Amino acid sequence: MDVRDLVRDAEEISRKIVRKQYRLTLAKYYLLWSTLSVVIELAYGILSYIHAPNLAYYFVIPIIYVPYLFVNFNLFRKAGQVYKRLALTLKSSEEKESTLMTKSKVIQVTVAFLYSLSFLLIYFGITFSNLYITGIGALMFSVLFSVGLVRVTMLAGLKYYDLMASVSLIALTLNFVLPKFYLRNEFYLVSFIFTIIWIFASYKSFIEVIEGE
Amino acid sequence: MSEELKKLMELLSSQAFSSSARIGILLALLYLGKMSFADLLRSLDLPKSSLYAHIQVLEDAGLISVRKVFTVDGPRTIIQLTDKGEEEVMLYISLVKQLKFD
Repeated sequence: MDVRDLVRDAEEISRKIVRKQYRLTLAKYYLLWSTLSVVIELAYGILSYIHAPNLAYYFVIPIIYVPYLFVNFNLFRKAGQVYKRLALTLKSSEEKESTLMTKSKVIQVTVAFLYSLSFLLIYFGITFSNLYITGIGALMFSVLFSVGLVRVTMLAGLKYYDLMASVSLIALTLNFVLPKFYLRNEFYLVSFIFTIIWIFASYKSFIEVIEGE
Repeated sequence: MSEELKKLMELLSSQAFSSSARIGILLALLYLGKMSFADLLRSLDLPKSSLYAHIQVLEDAGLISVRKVFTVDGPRTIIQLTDKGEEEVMLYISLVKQLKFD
């Protein structure tokens, strides 16, 4: 086999492995987030059933988001590392790994700070019924989330169901921003559509991994 | 023949780097950090025995480490680049890069 063919084949094989790995990760990720609305409704149900004071809602509901955000941040961080290593193979050798590592750590800390800030803005915006604070937080969160998701989907190979998942996520974020979406029934409807789309994206991702499409 | 090409040919003449599948596995391990045997098998269109043979060659060359770990889903075989493996893959990448840029 010619050296160039060998190199090209090896590159293709490595990209294929990365694509499959990230598609599988995305399948699990979509499935996890599709459970969010169910878990939140369950928490509301339990709190209501036990006649918990209003204050309990302000503590319990945000806590539910913590493991989801943790998984989210971890996935985006790992995707960032893979990107960094891929960049290392593409960039000129003048940019050493240590430089990329430092850049990556600074970005990680900044992103973690911005995530926390956006979440706090949403939390306090909703708690004090301030639309502007909620809006800024929701906008920050959706931008960070979308950028992270796009990076991961680029590793897995962008598909139409990834776009559907991203659009439904933005629609869900609008729940917090548009006052008319504070109406309970519309909130339920958007959450329901989000859940269905993310289950669908998860199913398609699993099929892609299993059937090798 | 350039010095880089000569070095690359030398590297590719070693058993570990003589197959595109093995180089692909090494590159993927560099990008992803570590992988389970099952994940690798799922990602590649290779029979289990072939993948096992490739892994054996890479392990014998000291480029990867293979260890069994117990997870909640049962025992898993985890494959990871060794320091020597990372060094050689980085050398391979830099040589290929120079070859492409020339």
